[in-house]
Amino acid sequence: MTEVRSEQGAAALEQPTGQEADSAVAAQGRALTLLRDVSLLPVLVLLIVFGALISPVFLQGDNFWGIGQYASSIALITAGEALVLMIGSMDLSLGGTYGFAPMLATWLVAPASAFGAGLNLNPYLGLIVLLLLGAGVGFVNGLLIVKAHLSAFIVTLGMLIGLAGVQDGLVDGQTISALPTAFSYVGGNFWGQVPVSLVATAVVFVAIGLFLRYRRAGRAIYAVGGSAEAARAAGINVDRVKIGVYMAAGVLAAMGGFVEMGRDGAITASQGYGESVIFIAFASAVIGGVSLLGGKGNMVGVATGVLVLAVVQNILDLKNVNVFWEEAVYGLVILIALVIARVLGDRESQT
Amino acid sequence: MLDNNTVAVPRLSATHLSKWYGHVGALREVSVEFWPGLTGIVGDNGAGKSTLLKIFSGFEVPDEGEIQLDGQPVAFHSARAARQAGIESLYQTLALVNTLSVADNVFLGRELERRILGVRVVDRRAMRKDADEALKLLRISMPPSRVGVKQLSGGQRQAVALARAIYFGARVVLLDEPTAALGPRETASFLRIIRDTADHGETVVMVGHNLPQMLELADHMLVMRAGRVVAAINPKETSLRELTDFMVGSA
Repeated sequence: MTEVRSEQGAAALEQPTGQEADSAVAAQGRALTLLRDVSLLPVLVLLIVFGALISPVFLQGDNFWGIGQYASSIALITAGEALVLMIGSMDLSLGGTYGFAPMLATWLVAPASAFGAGLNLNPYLGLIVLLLLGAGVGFVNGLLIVKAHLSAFIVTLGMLIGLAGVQDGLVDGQTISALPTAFSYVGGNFWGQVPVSLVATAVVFVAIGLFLRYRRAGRAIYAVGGSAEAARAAGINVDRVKIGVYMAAGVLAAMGGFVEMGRDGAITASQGYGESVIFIAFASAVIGGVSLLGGKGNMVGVATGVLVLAVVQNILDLKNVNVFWEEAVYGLVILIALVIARVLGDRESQT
Repeated sequence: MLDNNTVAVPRLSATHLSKWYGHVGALREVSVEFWPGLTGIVGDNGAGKSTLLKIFSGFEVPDEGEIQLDGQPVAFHSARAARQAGIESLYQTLALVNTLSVADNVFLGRELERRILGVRVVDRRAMRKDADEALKLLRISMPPSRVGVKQLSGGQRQAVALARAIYFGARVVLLDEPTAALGPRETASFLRIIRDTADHGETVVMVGHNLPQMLELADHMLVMRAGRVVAAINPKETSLRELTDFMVGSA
């Protein structure tokens, strides 16, 4: 700061009022950006303290790491939604991919006796199919939205319902429980007390975070979301960035569904759409500071947003809140968190 | 400014440019030359000033005629192509991303990179340093380049766009009413930047409405009327009265 100020001494002389005010604004802006990035951490800490006070089980290893395991699948689909929000769009179909991709992959792998297709596909090939399905759904979404200029809301809503229908239809609403190890290991196993899925998800988050910050394509995502017009004028291939993001989001949703399937030890017809997982992903991303208007958000925020809601969910479970009322309480918590996030966001944007 | 080894050619020129919108001839057989320094273009609304700039910046394709950059024929079919050839346009609606920092905007789409373990990564520190230096050259009061663009004033935003053009070695900078949205003090400050830029040997072309201001500022001036260039004048030897006579066609 001081170095910059002294270098601009000559300019400051010409416009005496500008420089001091600018520096102050800069410092304030930076402080608030930092505040926004970590603004959920105190909330998270408070929730953990609250959870520990309210239930002796909360901090016990099984429960505590269990939150991490539950949060992993949500975190992956939320990361996908966050990327789509960053380019200023939305993708409801991620909730469909979350169930459809693991279901179709498992159906290809599982024996006919366990509601599979009877093709007995190699499980590792099945994993590749699972990821390709995510990318493929994202690609179709991208083409319809970017090239055919259709509404993202309508396209992905239709896709969500369609994918859920296929997921249901493949197994006549049944559940496939006979998962090969390749399908259940990441989601269901622990290294010591640490869930494998949590480690895998952390690696994915760090990779996405570094990509967004340090790769040209990552910077382009922020530029496209901030102003597609300016990005285009700067020579960025806006259409390609957008379609790429829809594809990446689809892959992340498929990975999330894969992890959830491993945690359950089964793939049900209702995983994803039937459990309204997309709304949790939306809420987590927005609570985590991702702007619905595009151009803003980071993976630290997304991770804390996911964890806040996961901890709330766990506390509600531990307190045995009447299941019929649990969603109502959960919804109220989401609204309060959104208001807090919005207030902090507004303060930041006023500078 | 002239290259001693060759016959002097204008930095940017056009011959017999015509552009029609239906039956309206926005440009009729316009031939112009732009040399290093500041060229002002004046004329009434609908005289063809903006159409001319849009053709040079690749936003419009002429129906007839040819453009030459450093004497070589060129054809731009997109704004991107014009930019790659070194023609940068600054418009009133600035091509800046509000949610990004000043440094990110200066290097938008052309980020500096370095290699870590063979992987190309964006070099944020170098970008901030170079952006600060590029803006310092403009001698305008600016916060550090890590600050968000949305915190800047209109004049500072123009400066960011200009710094971007200069940093990437623009051959020609096109300005369409660059001070239209600025207050008096910011206008003065930005015009000084433009003058400095022209004095450094850049070729700057500026469309403007403020005639006294243009006469004072420009090295060369073109007067347009009804799609034609009707006069090329020396602003140092032309009075405001003579200039308006050219514009309305009574000269």
